[in-house]
Amino acid sequence: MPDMPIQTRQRDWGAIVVTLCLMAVAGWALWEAQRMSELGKLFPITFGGLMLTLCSILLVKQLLGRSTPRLELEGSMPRRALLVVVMIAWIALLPVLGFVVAGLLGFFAIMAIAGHDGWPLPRLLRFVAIGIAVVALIAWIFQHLLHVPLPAGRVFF
Amino acid sequence: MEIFSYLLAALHPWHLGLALAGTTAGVVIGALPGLSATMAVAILVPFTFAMDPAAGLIALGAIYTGAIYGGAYSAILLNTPGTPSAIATTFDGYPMAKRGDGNLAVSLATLASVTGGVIGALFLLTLAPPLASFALVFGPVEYFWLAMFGLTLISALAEKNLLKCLIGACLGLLLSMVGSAVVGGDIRFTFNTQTLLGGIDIVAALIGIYCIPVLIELVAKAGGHLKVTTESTGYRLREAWGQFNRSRINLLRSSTIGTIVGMLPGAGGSIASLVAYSEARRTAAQPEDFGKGEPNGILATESANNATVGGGFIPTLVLGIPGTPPDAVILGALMVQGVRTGPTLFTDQAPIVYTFIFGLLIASILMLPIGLIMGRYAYRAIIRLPKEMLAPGIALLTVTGSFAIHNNLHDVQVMLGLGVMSWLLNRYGFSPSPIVLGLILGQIAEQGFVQAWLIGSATSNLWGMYFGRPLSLVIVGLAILSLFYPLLMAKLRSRRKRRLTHA
Repeated sequence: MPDMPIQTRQRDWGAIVVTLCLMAVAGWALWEAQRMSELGKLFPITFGGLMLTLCSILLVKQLLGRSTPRLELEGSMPRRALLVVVMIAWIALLPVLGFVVAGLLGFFAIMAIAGHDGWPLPRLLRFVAIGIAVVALIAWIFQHLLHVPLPAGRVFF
Repeated sequence: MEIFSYLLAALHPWHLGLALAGTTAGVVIGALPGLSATMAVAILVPFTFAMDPAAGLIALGAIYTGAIYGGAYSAILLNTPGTPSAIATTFDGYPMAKRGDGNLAVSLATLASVTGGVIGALFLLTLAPPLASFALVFGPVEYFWLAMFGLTLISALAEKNLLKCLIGACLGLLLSMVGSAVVGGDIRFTFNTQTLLGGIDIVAALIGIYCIPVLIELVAKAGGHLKVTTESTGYRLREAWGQFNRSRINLLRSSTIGTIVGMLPGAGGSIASLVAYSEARRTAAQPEDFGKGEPNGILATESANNATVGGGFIPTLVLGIPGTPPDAVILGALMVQGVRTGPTLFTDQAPIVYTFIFGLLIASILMLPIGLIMGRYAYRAIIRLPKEMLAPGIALLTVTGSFAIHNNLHDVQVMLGLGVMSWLLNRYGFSPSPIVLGLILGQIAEQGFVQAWLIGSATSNLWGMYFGRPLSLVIVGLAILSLFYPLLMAKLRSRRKRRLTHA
């Protein structure tokens, strides 16, 4: 996301929440380290502690409004959210529907999300045909050429 | 004159054909995110069992070198390193592709990879036995400092966000600790699930952290993925050659770094390319251009990672200690072939070894035509593909590639989780590269740190263990220089500017 314009803000509460979350991760790492062996906790304590310290400095800077501003997003937020939802559903359906069927569903769903120019019938048919060919080709390459046992699925094979 | 007979043997049509086919197969596999050089070699190793040892070795060496180079395609065109060795190639490769110089970036990567491959093979040919004994000088503490040296690259990537980059690196280090501890075997940060017991796979993390944010942004906006310029159609080889000629020192230095790091067991192409990138930036006239599409960045990383191929073979052949993971697979193949590695290999089985080294040299040179042709088509395909095809195609490769690592869905889940996290953190100024650096270097750093701590405690010389060894001090010095050099130079530049303004 390198070409997104920078928004200027004094105090970014979103960024503060993210920093607090990172502090929680570091704190949790330190907490968990207490249950580890002497050797096992050396590194988590060193770098968990360092991360907590650095996050505290960042938090102070953010509260004073001196931190670098966040990147402002361009484009459609619902499309972004939909993509993540589709990817989650795709992965969840893989063991149920199998690689090919789940792959086709995921492929077409993301194709629809990425489409900004409308879907005249000839274009749609062409893209669907290509999509089927791409999924079949990838499945064939991985399954037969590279001997990767792709998920077979409980409903379809 | 005996050496020429080995060269002639390597130039035999059968060996040339194997080098050509191996390099091509390696490039294709390496270009697919999720399929690493190790996997490329492992998949194709059974095909070499029926061959004579020299031919089998040439085929495997060609696959390996091709796969390391192939990782640059997706790094440049999709911001997703095809192999972990190509991580640093994304830093400048993708910005170049974004501004319409993707074909130039691919040509530069090809020239650099050929140079690195050739220099690495020449080191292997001429200096293998003495260099192999140098690799043994590296103890645990040197590995720890080497990993820390790799982490100092953060300062090169940081610009005005050093604090956030350091936090990102710490997060990466914590992520590298998930699963079973490298020393002691503690089960850490797994939430008591089987999913995370094996830790976070680096390749799955790479795909997620680099690819998912690109995918999320790809679907959000209308318009092309990469900028298309009028000169986009050709190889831009003359331009690349000009840049290549101006960067000879960078290429030589990076290839030497690649060879030396490649020799260190477990270090590999990712560390080599990061160290070479850091050094290229440190010595550049305009270090602030790095990370924004600086051709020298690509030249440094690609020459270094391909030089690790020859470098990695040095301890593999001379000592029987694999320098990199693909070397371990090749070492296994050598054993199947009945070739016994060791210091006497270069005298007892000279025809096999020298024919193979010349074959590796030839395979590296063959990368030039193969790479340019394949790179051109890959670039054309990426810029011409409509988003409606590109986005689901990338998504399909991310899912399939991360599944193929261990043939389980856990890696796919981890890939997506880290990808969404990376997108969110990037939005708030935490760039993905320090996280990846921490993740990659974490295990090497921890193993070295803990082992050195154990030895230091046992000998009651903890301080001396970390800071008392000359080689460690050299690496510590380089790390400090690498960390503060950009800041120092920026300060000096601003002071000079102020002086000029006053004058």
